[in-house]
Amino acid sequence: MVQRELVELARKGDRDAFSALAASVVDRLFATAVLILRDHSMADDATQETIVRAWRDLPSLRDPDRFEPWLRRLLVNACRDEGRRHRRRRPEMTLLPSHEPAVGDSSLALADRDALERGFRRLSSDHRAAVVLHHYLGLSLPEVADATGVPLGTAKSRVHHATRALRAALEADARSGGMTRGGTA
Amino acid sequence: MSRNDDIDKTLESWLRRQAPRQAPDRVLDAALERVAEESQRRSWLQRLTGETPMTTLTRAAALTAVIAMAALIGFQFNTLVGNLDPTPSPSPSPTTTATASNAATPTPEPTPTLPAYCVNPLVDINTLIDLQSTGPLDPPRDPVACYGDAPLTFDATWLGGGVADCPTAPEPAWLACSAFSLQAPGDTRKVGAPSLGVAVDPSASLSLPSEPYAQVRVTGHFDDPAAQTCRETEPLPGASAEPDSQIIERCRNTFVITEVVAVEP
Repeated sequence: MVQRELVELARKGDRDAFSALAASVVDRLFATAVLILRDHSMADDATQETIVRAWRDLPSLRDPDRFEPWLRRLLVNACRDEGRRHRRRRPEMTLLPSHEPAVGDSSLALADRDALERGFRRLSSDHRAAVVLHHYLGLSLPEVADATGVPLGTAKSRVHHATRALRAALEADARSGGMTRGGTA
Repeated sequence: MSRNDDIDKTLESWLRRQAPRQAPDRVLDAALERVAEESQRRSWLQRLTGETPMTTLTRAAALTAVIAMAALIGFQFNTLVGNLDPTPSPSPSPTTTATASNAATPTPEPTPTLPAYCVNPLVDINTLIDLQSTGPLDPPRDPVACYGDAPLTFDATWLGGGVADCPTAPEPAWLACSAFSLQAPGDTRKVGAPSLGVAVDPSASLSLPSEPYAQVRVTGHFDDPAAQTCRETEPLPGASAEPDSQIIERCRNTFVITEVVAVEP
């Protein structure tokens, strides 16, 4: 069954249709939340919250074809709420472990990954969300603006400010000599 | 390949490596357990239009309630208008001064025409951040409707910034493409801290903190006069140019700092 049909059924309260819908999007939601929040536990909570909010508010979605952008906006808001909640609760977040071994990726040296990780963690969650939506999900800037609920100019500014900051982090790392570059780390 | 392409490719490659391919089973299981206990929200309109089973009697009762409420609101409004000073206000926009400092000056009560989401007087920077953080189906909130161009003062953490690397060369760049931002006071160098985008007029010659994370007390306003000159000079490839009215609206809703004072953390 295509997504539109599932959305229409779920809007009318069909829980089975909603379960199928949720199963089809949960991996992407979770991956996006992990990248924005840099923490698996928080991403777990934000993804669950997004799915629950989607179920609760689905009847208010007028156009079933807008389900994906609508869901992305729910996710960004859930990540924002989760970030605030944890900021009040504990002083530091756990760092995201790397999911894959460092070898075998000649395009990205270990020093680059470290510099990116440090630079990325220094960005605000709003800037990280913009970068993830644009560079990971491949959304256009107007779509980033829609997903984050900000004007187009603000979305442009966030993506470019964040990208510039990350480029500066990489360049600073290169200037300082860094670690092994371009080889196996 | 340009430097921009390089960083874009590096970033995309790094993000793909960082992203888990699958969510743990518990995420979906736990979410669906909660869904099983939750009912869906339905608006009164959906109920009236029959998307859920309703009896004719229920619909009639709901319609009567809506008409009664409308009549009551109309009556209250007429009473209110009747009690107001008939002298017309010289300015249609709110001109209250909101301040979050301890020595807050008395602030006039918000006028009845303010949108319901307005918090006036201003409590702190989070009030302004919340104005930017609307829900998925909420219309954008308009800080100018809440505060007009009144000076607002609040404490914050200075994050630094400057003119962003905007691809479309909007003008004036300091207002339409500013990347200065503030966070709530205190140590906010943590994941998830929300921020408030602000602009600094270079002609104001402010003495800005040289390092990020400085604790500051800022004064500024929305609806800067320069907002009326905001223009997008070069559309983004693949996107239509932002209409003038939209960019002016965005500039009007940008908080422009007029004073920055360092405060003790």
